[in-house]
Amino acid sequence: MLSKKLNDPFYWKNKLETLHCLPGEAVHKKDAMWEKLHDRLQQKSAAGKAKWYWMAAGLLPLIIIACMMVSNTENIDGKQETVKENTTKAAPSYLLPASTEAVTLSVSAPVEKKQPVAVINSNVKSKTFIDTIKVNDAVVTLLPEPIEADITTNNILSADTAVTVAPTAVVKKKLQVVHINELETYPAQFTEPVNYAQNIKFRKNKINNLNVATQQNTIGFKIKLSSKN
Amino acid sequence: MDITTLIKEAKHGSTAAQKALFDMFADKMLLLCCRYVKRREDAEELLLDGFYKFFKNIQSFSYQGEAAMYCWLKRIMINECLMFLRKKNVFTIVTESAAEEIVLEEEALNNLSADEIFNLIVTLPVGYRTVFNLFVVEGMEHKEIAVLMGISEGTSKSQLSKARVLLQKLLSQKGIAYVKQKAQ
Repeated sequence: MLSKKLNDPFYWKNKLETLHCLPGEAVHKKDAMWEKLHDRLQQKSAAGKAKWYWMAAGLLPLIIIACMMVSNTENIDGKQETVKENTTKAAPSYLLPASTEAVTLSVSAPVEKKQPVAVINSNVKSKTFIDTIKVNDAVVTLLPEPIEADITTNNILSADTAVTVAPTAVVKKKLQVVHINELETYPAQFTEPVNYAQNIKFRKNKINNLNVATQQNTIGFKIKLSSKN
Repeated sequence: MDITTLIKEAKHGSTAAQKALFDMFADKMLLLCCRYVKRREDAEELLLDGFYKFFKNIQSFSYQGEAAMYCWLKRIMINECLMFLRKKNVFTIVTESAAEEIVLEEEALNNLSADEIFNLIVTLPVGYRTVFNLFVVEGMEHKEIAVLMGISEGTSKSQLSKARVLLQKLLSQKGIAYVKQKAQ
């Protein structure tokens, strides 16, 4: 049957392979088409390059930020490690071997020093207590720990806040104790009469003038309880 | 310059080599595109798209002979055509009334020129044409065609049989064959 031939793919293939150009059509402008294709290839490559440049430009700040963040975390870790090391080093000095005659231990955490919030007067010097302990006939000097160490060893996370917290030494100022009888003259604030006359309002009604007639060295006042003036 | 050197140079971005490859295969590929897409302008556009993809992906192509390269390029073009047809949503299933039994004369069919066969295929409705091209000319399976066209395997089969009937009808209209009433 001929229909078998129609179903034969080789028949169609062989027939179509002999065809080299479109039937009944003028030879297509191959050069013009190539120009189009070439332009497209050039444009796309340029656009692709530009796209990569933009992507790189966009990523650059992100990379910088990431680097900064990484370096910050490394610094914090480094600080924490040094703090830990220092705290381990700051063991009580009386545990040191007997051969050491005088050992001074000072704990110093590598915390950024910032200016304290409260400025301490330079004239006022805080007392330093130097304790000495005798261990096996060896004198061990105990120096007070700096305040910074206490602040930084509190918590790992509070490393940043430890920087901002300024150590303030409370200096107790001793006032001169003078007996009242020793005073020759009273201060003016105690001698001058004070007029404490005030109006007192009670539930939106002016109750009365509170005439506080203060005499010298006397304290007393009268309250009129009538609603009339 | 042989094709191996041309491909090697095209991989390095040589414009001359790319143009030589384009000149070598453009005609055949345009014919292929015209078999799937009726309009000449669309076919040319698809040809350019196909060649653009070919040159863009030529780095990943490992040359194993001219036939392999031709097949690869052909596959790119077919995919471009199918994508175009799918975008235009032209895979409408045309139902043809059952054609009368036609018996074609074998000699007459052998005398058919390539041009005539090409024109016959092009005159088929798009659904028939695509299935016929993929199954008969490209030698694909119905399963593969169904996936490519987004239709069921049964639809592909029915489209092919209808395409054949229509082809017979067209051939008979051309006076190639003689219509003979089915012997009862």
